[in-house]
Amino acid sequence: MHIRRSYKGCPVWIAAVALLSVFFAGIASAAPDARALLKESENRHRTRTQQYAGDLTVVNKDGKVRKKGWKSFREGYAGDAKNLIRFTDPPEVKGVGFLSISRPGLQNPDQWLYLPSMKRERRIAAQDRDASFVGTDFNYEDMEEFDHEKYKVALQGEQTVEGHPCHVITAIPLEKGGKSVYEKKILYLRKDIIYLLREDLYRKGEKEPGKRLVLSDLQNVDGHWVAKKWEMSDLKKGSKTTVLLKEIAFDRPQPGSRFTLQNLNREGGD
Amino acid sequence: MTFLLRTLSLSYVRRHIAKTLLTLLGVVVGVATFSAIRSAQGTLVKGIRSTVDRVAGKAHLQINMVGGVPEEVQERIRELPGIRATSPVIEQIVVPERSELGSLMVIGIDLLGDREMREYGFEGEDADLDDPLLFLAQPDSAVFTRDFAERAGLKAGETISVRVPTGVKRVAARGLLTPKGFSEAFGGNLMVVDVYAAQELFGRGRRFDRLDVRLTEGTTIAQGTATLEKALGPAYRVETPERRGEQMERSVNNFVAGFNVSSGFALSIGTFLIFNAFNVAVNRRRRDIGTLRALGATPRQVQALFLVEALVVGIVGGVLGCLAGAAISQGFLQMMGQTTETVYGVTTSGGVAGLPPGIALQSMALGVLASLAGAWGPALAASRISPTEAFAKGTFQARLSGKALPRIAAGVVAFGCAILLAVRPPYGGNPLILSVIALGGVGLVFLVGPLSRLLLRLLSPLLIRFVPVAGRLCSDALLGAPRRTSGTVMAMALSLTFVLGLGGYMGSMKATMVRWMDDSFTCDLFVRASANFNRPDFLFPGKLREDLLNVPGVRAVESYRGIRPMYQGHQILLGSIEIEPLLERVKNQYFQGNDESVRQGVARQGGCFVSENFYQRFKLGVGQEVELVTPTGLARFPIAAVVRDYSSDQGAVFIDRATFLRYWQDDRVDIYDVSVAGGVDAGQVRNLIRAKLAGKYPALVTTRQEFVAEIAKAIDAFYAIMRVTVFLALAVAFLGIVTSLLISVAERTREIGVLKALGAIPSQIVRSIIVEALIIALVGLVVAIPAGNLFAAFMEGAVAEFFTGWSMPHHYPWDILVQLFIALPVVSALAAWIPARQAGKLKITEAIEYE
Repeated sequence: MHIRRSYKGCPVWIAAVALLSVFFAGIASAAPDARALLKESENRHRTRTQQYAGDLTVVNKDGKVRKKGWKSFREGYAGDAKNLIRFTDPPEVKGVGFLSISRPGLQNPDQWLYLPSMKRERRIAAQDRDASFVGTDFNYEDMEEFDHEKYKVALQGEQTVEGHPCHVITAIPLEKGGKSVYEKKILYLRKDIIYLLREDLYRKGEKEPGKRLVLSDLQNVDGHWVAKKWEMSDLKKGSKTTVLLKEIAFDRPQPGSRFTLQNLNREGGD
Repeated sequence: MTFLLRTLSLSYVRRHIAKTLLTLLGVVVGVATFSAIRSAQGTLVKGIRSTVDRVAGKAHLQINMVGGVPEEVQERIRELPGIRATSPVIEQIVVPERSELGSLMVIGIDLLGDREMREYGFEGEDADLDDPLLFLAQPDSAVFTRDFAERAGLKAGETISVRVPTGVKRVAARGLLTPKGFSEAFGGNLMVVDVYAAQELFGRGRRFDRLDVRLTEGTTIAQGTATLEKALGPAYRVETPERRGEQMERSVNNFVAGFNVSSGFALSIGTFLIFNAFNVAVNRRRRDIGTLRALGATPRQVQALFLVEALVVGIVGGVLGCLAGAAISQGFLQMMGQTTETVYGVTTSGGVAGLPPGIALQSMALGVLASLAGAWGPALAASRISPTEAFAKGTFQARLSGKALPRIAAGVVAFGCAILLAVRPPYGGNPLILSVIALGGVGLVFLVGPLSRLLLRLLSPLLIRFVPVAGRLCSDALLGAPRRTSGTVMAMALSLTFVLGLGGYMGSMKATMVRWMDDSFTCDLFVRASANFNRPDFLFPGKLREDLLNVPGVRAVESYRGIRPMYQGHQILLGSIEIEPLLERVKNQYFQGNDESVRQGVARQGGCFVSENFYQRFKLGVGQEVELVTPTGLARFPIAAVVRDYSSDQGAVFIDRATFLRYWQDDRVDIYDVSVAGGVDAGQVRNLIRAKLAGKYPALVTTRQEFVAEIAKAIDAFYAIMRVTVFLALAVAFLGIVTSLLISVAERTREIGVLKALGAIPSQIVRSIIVEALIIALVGLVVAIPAGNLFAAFMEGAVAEFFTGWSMPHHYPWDILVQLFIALPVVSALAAWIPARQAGKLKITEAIEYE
């Protein structure tokens, strides 16, 4: 659950991780099932809210580094999540906002980007889901909450990641309603806490993963596991985006108006 | 044949190099004009199509609406079946402060998702734009092509100043496009900005110029179009980029088609020069021909000999003409580009006009044809020369002059038919224009010879009276060589007919429009946001009217908005303004209805009044209705009046502003018509308005006189190329006089020698040559005056009505006539200068020996 939040707050990747943690302990002796693992993970890591400050570093293939900072707020979880990100740094992009609101069923969430210079929001269309999220290696789909209900999942086996035994689960998007940029995702769930450590992302037609998300520096905050370092690598472009999470807090009350277009359009509104 | 060419033709060319070159020049100028116009026209149209295609990228369909597509439409169509991607676009032309860099096409697109639609070709440092967030978050962000950046010395992160409607703005190059695909549009002079920034920058409100749509695989264009049309309704136009390009091309084609006539004239005049030159060549070589015939050459061989010569002249002239055409086509292209932008609001990249092989071949073929056509008659005449005739001086010419009567009859019939066709046309359009010009031309060809001889005979006593020696010499020379004289007069008359006809038409058009503007544009100041009359670069918000009314000294303000919807396949103008106050100050010329019917029907009952050309084109007048597709559905507007109006060459419909707001729900304004209070200085009010709008809106505040002058300038720009072609036609005619006189001097070398031996002094000889030139020009002008007048009347009547539906009273081009009366003697005297000097310097002994 905890992990889930971190997943939510930013990229897709975290969600999957989170789902798995809880489940793992209960089924240690039984043959695990992918859906059950993911449900258990969600149950274990679900939090009502999550917030953090993120330090974002994008390093392109030539080594050029760009840094940004944001604050992230989430309410709900997976299929009912609402997420607001507000850029805080550098000054040129301060105030830029991103709002994502999940929609029921298999539909893609609604997403908007707010630009202070225009003083208005712009909707992110389904066709734009593969576009880079503000120049990072995350795309707009990666910024959605991972909801395993929107995937056909299957357990592939086990593998060790960073010294931790992991379940390997294949997740294939169900295309009825929503559209995914990806053809397949392979999730690596740490067995002991059912937390996502790695995600390999395959775009349509790709035989090898085009992108890879690695979650590390796991810590227990307010009783919830959370990865404080996320690394999304574009394996084709050779670039990498790292997010370091600070000031993490769970289950703090969030004002009801926070996740609205009015708030998104409010200059400096968090 | 090779032998004949080598012995007879080459030796003649060697002996008469100057004359041969001048003959060649006739073809060169004709072919050069034709090929340059066609190349420029081709490049212009190709540029329009290429820009439309490249900017469209992978879009299968484009959605347009008059006045712009509201933003919410994108949401409405996103989820429709078969739609893979949609992308908003705003297009605008701006000029960098360093104007030598050329116009820039600004493309406003949604950079977040536009890669589904267009290939951007970002590479290296710009592989993912330098910083997309920075790009989006900074309103001064732009992407340029590498090519443009290199020319401007611009690096990523640096800024450049461009003129936008709100003033000069510095934009930062946040990324550079590699020249391929999309970035090659508009010749690479491309500036890509965020579409929402473009809305702000160009006053589009919450609208886009269009939405590009990409369909999913398996969805056909027809299916996609049907889905979108059903979802959006008739107010929206759903079309393929190709169709949009074709439409732009069509509107420009109407304009460039006129140049074909111009280049046709240039070639026709060249044909007469060749006719003239070959006619004289046959005369000069009749003894050679006689010898050949005596030695067994057949008439067919003699004719073929001259035709092969013409073929060579045609080919060489064609090649040189194409080269010259390629050199001057760029100038034509620039002029055409400026005009299409000013008049049609269509801008192309102003690319480089080369000479496509197709056009080169076409031009050369025309050069050869013109040459063969010009030489055909003289060649035929040469083939009919019998050996006995050939050695008898003067017989040849005398025999030919005996055929005058049938030619006069044929000329009268052809000319009469042309007039009849023009007055009572049984059919319309291009066939009518071509028939009238062809018949008129043939008539002129037949009639010019007899007419010029008649005129010369009438002028002869006068000449002899005023310049006894030179006059007699000149009149003998002209009447003694009827073919040469009529050929030169023909070329002269044709070009002067062209000048007077087109000049008359242009003059009538301008005078009529100026008078109409005087009656219609009666307010004191015009507050505009766009310099271009046909392409709104910026639109004012409707609320600005209240602000303008509050400016001290302002008595009244009306808000004019013009949009250009399609009506029965034509892009008409729909103008809206507060009608009641307008009626108080304008003087409409009504064909149907009156001020009162407009007040009642348009201002109070929501109807419309239409322009005369709308009435002519669509046959809709008072009592009938104009059915227009509006954003709120189909609406019918009863016609309350038909007025003389020249706002649009496709027809105009005018409604009250309240009606427009009700149906179109768009309060933006093109022009505010401002009237100042009595006794207040309009200049002072202008300054106050400028101060009020400074920094907020673009504002071109012009007085009535300035406004009218600007439109008159646009009209002049429209006719600029026609003027150039008129000049070229005159140049060909000038060459004709030079050639004719050179030939005349050569022909009369022996005669001049005899005259000198009998006591004629060089100045008398020189004077006679100059007088000869003046007389040719005068006779040409006298023939051209009625012909030009008829041509002008035809252009103002049938042609103007076909293309525009406008009728205009004929204004005789007195100004041009006066200019010609002054310029022609000077030009003719100049043309005569070299031949006259040559004649004056002839030595008696050499001249008498000359054969």
